[in-house]
Amino acid sequence: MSTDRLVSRRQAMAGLLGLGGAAALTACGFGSGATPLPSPPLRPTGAAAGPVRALSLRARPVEVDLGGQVVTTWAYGDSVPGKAFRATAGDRVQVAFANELPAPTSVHWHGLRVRNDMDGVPGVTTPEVAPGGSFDFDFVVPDPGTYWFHPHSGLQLDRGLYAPFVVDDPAEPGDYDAEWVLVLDDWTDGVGPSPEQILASLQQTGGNGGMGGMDMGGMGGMAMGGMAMGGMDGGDVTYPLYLVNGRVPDDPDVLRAKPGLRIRLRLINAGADTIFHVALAGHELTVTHTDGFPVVPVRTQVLRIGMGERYDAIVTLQDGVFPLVVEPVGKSGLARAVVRTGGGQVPPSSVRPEELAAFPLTVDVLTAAPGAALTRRDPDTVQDLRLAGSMASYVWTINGRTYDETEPLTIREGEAGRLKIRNATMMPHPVHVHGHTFQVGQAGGTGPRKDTVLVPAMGSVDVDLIADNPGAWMVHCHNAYHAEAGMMTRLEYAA
Amino acid sequence: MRTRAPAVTAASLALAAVLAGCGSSGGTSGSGSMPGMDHSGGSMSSSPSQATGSAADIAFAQLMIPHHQQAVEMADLALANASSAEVKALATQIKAAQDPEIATMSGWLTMWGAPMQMDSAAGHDMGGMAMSGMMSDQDMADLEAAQGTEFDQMWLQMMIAHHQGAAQMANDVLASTDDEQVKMLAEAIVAGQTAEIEMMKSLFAS
Repeated sequence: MSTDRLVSRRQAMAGLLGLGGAAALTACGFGSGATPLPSPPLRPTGAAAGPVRALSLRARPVEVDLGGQVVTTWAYGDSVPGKAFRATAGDRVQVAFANELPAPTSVHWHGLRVRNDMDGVPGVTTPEVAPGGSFDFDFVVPDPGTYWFHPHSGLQLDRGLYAPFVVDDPAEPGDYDAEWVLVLDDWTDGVGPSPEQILASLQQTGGNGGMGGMDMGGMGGMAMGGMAMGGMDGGDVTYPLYLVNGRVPDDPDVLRAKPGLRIRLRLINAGADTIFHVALAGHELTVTHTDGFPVVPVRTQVLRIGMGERYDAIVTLQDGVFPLVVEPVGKSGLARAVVRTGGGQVPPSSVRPEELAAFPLTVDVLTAAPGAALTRRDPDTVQDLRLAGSMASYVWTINGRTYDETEPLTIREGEAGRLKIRNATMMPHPVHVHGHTFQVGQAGGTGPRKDTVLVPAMGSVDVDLIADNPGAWMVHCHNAYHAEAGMMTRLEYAA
Repeated sequence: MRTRAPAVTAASLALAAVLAGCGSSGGTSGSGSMPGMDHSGGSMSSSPSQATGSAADIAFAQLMIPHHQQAVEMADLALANASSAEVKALATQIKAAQDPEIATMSGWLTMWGAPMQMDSAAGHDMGGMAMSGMMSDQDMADLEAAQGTEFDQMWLQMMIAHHQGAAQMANDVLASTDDEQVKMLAEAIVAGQTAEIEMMKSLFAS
């Protein structure tokens, strides 16, 4: 299959075509702005809500073709990833959600600073949606950028339940001709063991201690070949497949375009347990945004993206056929998509472009673009977020506690808060804060705005946020298995 | 899936222990506000810049010395291999700042009668402080093998991360120290390295 996913910027802006536009338009018929505004009022944006955009979404069991391999999984709509949602910053978005799964589920709008009761965390913000049930979401999308959505229920994220949510900027400078959304994933559902079986096995075999976890007798279909033990430790699970836009490397998603065009890549790591390195053979990436917010553009050959993170990058297309290769860090295998601007054979999927050998770009070197930084101020409250855990018992903690016994972080509305994230483990953890976009480093400093930051093994990251969106918000590791094994807490607004 | 080594190194545990113990005492003056720290080898400092060091101050020096040593090692690599004059100038500046700071901190440890290296058996499991931003042996080997502009970009990126780690360690000790010398040096590290981070980020982006 070769899908032409090229969306011109003008078309995308107008919502006329492409992944997002299609989704945005098909869904109408629900809501016309007549729905009374639910209480509490739409937050956190101070601006009046823009036009209403009515969307629909259903979670359901489906058969999807990953490229010669048909699997049964759970997905949004008919495809993996689900069709992208698209809106313009300031829009009021209404999503009629239907749960056609045999299990309760939820929808979390990752990175979007929606009001608390729309955040999609069962038991904390939004009711769980029972099988056969429905829920009407209604929120304002305050910030432009690349976001996504997924369940916040157990390990459902590690099935096919994920889709992009692109929020266009009405003032987009638009220094590009077209865009390409690329969703990266680690895949087991319907191929290897289920996510729940994997977690059970981690909890069981982990208890052996020592090298017991290497004895994978109990892991059924888990791929074990060629596992990289050296270098960076990327995750706990070796997956049978890695996907870009729901496709295996031998039957990839293809971007067809003319050479010389400037393409905006919107990269989303929807993986549950895998950090990826991304490179486009024969090209340099100019990174322009992370987690929706602009950075001073920097060039790189390879980019590191943790679970839940997003990066936007501009590439100027060369003439020929080029694999966009996505390499799981510390694991074997790869995923890829292909750019075709001219004739020639697609290189075999075993080809590893030389760009992947370069030092990967990480968050350290990124600078918030002018206007993207928070206002400079000293924190009113400083709180520790100590990440710890052990593979032996497969228990992961924040500040020494698993989620069921967590002592939430607290903040008052209007305060500036600093989280000092200290990673006392030998693997990196992507830490995600709901409802806020923090600034890495300090408020008013040079670090980028983000909602998910990869904290290096044994390393530390400070982030500052402004408490402008009251409620109870999840703060957690975006490794789905770590979160499920306890590595979550909440940030709660004190009265 | 695989099993990894125990998640916390002894050295980091020790610093965690001392910093966690001191964190709540940041606003208080005088001595004796760090219960449970007797294992560190130093007695409590009751006035600034005296012949004894607090556990946190000792740990700071013990961890910052090797951190600085790696920065100097990276600076030496840049002086030999960098292609850009700006990177070489920066390397000269970093070496000129950090070499004397290593001497200063070694002097403190001698004065305090504390070992140059952290006692790795002294840890208590109080969670996560680390020597932040350190490059692995593999990182250093990769850097040594790089050439030309690739070297420059790699060096800038590594040194930015390295400096950010140093600034965080310095900020952490500033939250607890009562020693004027430690305070002055930590403030100098934060100010100097933060300015260098800005410079390196702009070089990286250009």
